Amino acid sequence: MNCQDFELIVIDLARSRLLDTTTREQSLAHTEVCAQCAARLAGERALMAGVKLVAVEIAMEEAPARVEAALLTAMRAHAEREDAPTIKPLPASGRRMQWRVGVAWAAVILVFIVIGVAWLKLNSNERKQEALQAPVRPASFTPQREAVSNSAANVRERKLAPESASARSLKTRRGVRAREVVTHFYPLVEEGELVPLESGRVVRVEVPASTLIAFGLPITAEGIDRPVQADLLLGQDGLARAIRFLP
Amino acid sequence: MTRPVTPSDDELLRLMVAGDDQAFTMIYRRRQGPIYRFALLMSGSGAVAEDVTQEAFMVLIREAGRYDPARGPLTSYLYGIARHLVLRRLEQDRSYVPLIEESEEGDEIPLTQLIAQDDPFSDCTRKELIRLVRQAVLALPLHYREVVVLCDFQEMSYAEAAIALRCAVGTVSSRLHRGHALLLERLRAMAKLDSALPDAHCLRCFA
Repeated sequence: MNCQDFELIVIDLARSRLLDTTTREQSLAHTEVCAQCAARLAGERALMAGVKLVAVEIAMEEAPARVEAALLTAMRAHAEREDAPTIKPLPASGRRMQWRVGVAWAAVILVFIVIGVAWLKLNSNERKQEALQAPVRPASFTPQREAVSNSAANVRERKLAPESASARSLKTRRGVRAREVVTHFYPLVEEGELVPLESGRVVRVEVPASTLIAFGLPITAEGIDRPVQADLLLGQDGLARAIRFLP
Repeated sequence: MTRPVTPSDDELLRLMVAGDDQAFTMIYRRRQGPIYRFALLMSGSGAVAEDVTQEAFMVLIREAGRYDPARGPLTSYLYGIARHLVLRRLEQDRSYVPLIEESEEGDEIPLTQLIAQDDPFSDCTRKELIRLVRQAVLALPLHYREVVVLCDFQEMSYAEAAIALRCAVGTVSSRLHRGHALLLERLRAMAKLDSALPDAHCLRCFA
């Protein structure tokens, strides 16, 4: 062993570490013939002795108890936070399942939307069609009570029954007529002359404007020659019971 | 099934992650002393050592999942955290300036200077020797100091120190040699200075 080799292991030699017996013996033998290396080893041993003194001196030094207390508090708080429910990412299989459920829900909602839109469209078309046909098509209806009361002021349109497609179309027409300016129904026969009105129908007709005068309704000079639309209420016997005008 | 009498650090850490504060207490009591002393020797300040110890274990509480047993024992992991915290703290406390100029790694010290003709501490009492060694360690450049503290004072192997410092084993060995050389040189100088100026004990400038 030469001085360079000795320098490489001098610290381990001084620390009595990681040296096999042969290397250790060779090193010590070298110090017997090399005064410099012997002094080097003495210096390292002195240093290690000083280090050991310091190590022993501070061996009992440790963090004060308050550090442990503070850390324990922090640990418990952390554990509580971890226990609190949190949104955690699902595993891959769970994510796939969730995706499929989401798609299924979306499909169901889409089907409902399509059905709803189709129904609305169908309904809207039906109303339009009926509104166009309303002025020319007579409709039957069933009054709930006695059709015509004593006075003209009491002649009212009745609720239609039974509720059916035709009734719905009549309702539609009533909606259209509601927007028309109409007079009350004026009775055409005296009470008691006919059997009570159990059912009937309304027929749209045109009458001369002079007819308005007969019922005491006003008429302008320009409109004297023009026909006026009127609704005739026909009873179950086919006889006209009342009339109203659309001047 | 009963818990082992002396559970390993890894076992305790697993329990700790599951919320077992007793497991954490066991880890802390087992490992806080060396971490505190490492920080104390590195910084020379009890207050810094206390802060570093507390923060190192706080990191363990918060980020226990980052510990990988395959990369080394828990002790090395904790030393690594403590080292990082100490270096950051010393970086902040720039007011501490060593009176002894720090040699760079490339500077060569003649081998003859490392060879003592006699024991450099022959005239020192035990307390003086302890004080001188601690001061000399504090005066070392950080990258030598940490190796000296871990390998000499904490008696870690080169491999364990290499894990804690995240460097090669050869680097630990070479830094330890260099650190010892600097220590011996400074201790001799300090011993001489001490005998000439008995009151000049402070090696740090607090200006």
